[in-house]
Amino acid sequence: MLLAASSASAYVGPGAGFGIVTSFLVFINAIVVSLISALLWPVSMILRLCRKRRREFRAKVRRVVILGLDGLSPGIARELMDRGEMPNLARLSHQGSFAEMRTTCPGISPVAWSSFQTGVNPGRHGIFDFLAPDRKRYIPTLSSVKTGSATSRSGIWPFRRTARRPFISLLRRSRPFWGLLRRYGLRSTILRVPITYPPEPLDGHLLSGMCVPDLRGTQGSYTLFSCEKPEDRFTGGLWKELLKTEGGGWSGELPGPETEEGVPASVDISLQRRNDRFTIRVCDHNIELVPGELSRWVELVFRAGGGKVRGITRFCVSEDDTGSPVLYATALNVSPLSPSVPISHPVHYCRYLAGIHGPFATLGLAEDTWALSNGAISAGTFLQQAWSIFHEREMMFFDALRNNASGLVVCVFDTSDRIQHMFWSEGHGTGTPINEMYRRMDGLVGETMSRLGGRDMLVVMSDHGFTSFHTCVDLNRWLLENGYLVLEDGVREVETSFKGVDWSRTRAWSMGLAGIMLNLRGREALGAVEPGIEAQELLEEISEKLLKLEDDDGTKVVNAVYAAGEVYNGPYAEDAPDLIVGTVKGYRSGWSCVTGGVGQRVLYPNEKRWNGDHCHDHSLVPGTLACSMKLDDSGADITDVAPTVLMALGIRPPFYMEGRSLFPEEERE
Amino acid sequence: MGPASASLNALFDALLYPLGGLPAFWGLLLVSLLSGIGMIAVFKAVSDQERIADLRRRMGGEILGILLHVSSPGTVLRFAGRLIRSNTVYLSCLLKPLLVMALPFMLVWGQLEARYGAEGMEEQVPVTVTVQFRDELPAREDMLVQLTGAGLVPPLVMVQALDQVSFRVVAESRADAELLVNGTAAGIGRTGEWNGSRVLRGFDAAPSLWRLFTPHVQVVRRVSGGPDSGWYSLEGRDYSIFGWHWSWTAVFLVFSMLSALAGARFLRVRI
Repeated sequence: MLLAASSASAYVGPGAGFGIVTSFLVFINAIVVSLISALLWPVSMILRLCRKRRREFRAKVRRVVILGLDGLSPGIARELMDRGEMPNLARLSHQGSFAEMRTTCPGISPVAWSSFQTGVNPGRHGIFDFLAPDRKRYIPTLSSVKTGSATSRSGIWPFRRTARRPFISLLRRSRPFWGLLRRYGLRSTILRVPITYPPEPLDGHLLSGMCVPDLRGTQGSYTLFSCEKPEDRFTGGLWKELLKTEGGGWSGELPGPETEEGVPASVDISLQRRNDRFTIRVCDHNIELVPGELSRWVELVFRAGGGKVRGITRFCVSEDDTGSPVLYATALNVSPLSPSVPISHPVHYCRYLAGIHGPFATLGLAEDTWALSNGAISAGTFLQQAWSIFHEREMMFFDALRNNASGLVVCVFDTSDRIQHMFWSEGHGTGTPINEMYRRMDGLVGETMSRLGGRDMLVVMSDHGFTSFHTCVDLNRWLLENGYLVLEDGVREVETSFKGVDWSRTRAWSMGLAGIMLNLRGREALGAVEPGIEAQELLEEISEKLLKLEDDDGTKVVNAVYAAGEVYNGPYAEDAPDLIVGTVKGYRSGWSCVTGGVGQRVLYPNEKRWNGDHCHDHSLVPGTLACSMKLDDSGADITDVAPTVLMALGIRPPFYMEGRSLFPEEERE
Repeated sequence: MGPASASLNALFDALLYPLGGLPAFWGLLLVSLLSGIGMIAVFKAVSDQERIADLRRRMGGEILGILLHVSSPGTVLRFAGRLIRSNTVYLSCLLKPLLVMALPFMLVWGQLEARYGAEGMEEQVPVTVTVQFRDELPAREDMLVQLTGAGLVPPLVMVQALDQVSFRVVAESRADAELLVNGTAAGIGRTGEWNGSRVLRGFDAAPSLWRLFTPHVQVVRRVSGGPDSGWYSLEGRDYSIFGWHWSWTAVFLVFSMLSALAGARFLRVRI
């Protein structure tokens, strides 16, 4: 019948008609761009060759691939390699090198990965912790990103108008080593390296990692829906009520980004039970939910700021004791298909990745450790989430390996860090989540090795190691009990942000995971300590006393106290905490103390699910460095990676880099 | 064939009757807009929307892949290949809605063609009628042509080689006329006074299934010794929009597409 049709055959309905017309446009587009690319190729090739000739040395390799496994402990890796449970890393070690790598002081991801990418100490890149103290207001701020809005004028008189425009700026100083490669005609693909948000321009592609916010502007806040309000308050998430509807279902509102009026834009959700499953309807999506299992990514559209803001989330439903549903929604990730903030360079790189591989987690800290800690999701759901994020990352990484045949490919996987944080107490014996994680990371190493050629160099590294965290050390309480921090009359405890601290009598305060700051006159808003000798003596006094701090059983709590002047140098060293407290294994700065709280006890048990950590004395949690080439890795430092990579590509490391090339002496020239 | 064809015509007569008082352009415009929305709704119901969305996303990624790796011809070619493959899969996804919609679309198309495609006979404007005989032409003296509501304009041209007879007729009024050739009776021009009624542009005494899609060709009773079929040279209707001359197909395609686009947005249809 279709063959017999005459005029109608060219157009059978608008839907199919549009599809057919656009399909032909796609065909034409593909052919035209391919032809243009082929025509331009000789020109770009010549340009690249000219740039490559600028290299100071003969390149040892054509491409360097860096596989960052956040928190991979060299001790555990070595043990599992010896037991034959990490055969690929063992093979890499045998072929090239494997060693412990000194991390930064403190050994915290934003600090260590900043030093990795710049090749300098924190005093030169300005990142000392997750949080940076606002010394004028005594409140914590994010150390790596500054967001705000500024007044800008546009147009010409009389049509000039003033508007407030948001801005996002990266606070990490110095320059990542991949920024240098452009001059030499080498392209880079940088995937999810911490402290790359907002993305900086480079010759290649970059997808930002740690510190990318969610749509609410936080570092990740999940939403928990239930009919009954949870008894305990919880951090890291929001609670919203599920209301019973007439049809026997439930409904609720999922809050998203703030509107200009300061109230959150939200989308409606409705939930229906269907036998042993649930169906959720949100933003025209109908999703079937199996209790205990995470849904696929669901795109949500919020109306805020005069336009549409798109985010993605995943749902998981469970039932409480009364049989009522409890619905968990992950943090509202920025949609990679339509990002509301820049998360990649070029901006459409994230769209490309999402187009090829499907939507993926864009949030900096995507694995929801708070939800597991608070009991909003089970350990199984958390692991499902962590491994699906790992799978997404793996796809992107292999895509980069396929499409970037020369230059640099860097990809950081966070799954290793998150799983160790949450399951450390279960050990790393066979069958434990940590053991499985190490084995899967080894599988990733093996898969990567199989995809590389003879002229590629593979570096497998971690920014720090891991150890236990069983006891919290409330440094502010310690400062209070020792008379360095004073509370206003009648105040016994401070929940957060130093509310109730008498600054006129306070001489020292602690914020972040390891830092102690003096309340220095001229630097802090209400400084009480005179710079110079008084400050110096105070620092020595605090250090001495801290080193004597002991637990009830006589265990020494502090391994070392570092004065900022001793461990940092550079133009931003003065922004560092004055003292960095290096606790022993098992002891870490207390939860509320990190954000400016003052608890009731100096030492108290860590009762949270988060029971593994690396925020201790950095010498106790070294990172891992494995390479497919022989390296002189004795005493390797995380700042050595950048110069080593540059040397491998035939580029002389710039003068400001502090690390050294790890290639043996005879190979350096 | 006759009853099916007659039922279909009656159905469309009833459906389009409310628009009969409107000028032909406005009637056609409304029908086009409703058809666009109707077809996009059917497309949504029949197509695999999830799959189409997935393929569109993937093709978008592959186009961006070409743009992002434009300096690497090998990668560009790989993405171009993948794009063509995805596109082929996408086209195969359109096959089901295409097949489902083909029959109703062709029926609608034929009915609109019959009702809005041509004017009826104009007064004093001659229309050429060509009549086809199956085997052999009757002798000139055996040829009997009678008209009601129109006058015959000689000569009667007989083409022996093609077994055809041609002559001209002139309408006496704008009302429908009837033709009788050797016992076979057929209408010419409008079948009703209202806009949107069928305009007969031929007849067929040996109809096939295909005649369901061409309602402007009247299905008539076969008479021994009578002609097989015939057709009339009626002028196509001209629709003037902002001084531009549009055929009914242009009006229908453009406005049904526009309404389909709006409907797709409103109904959130992925196409």
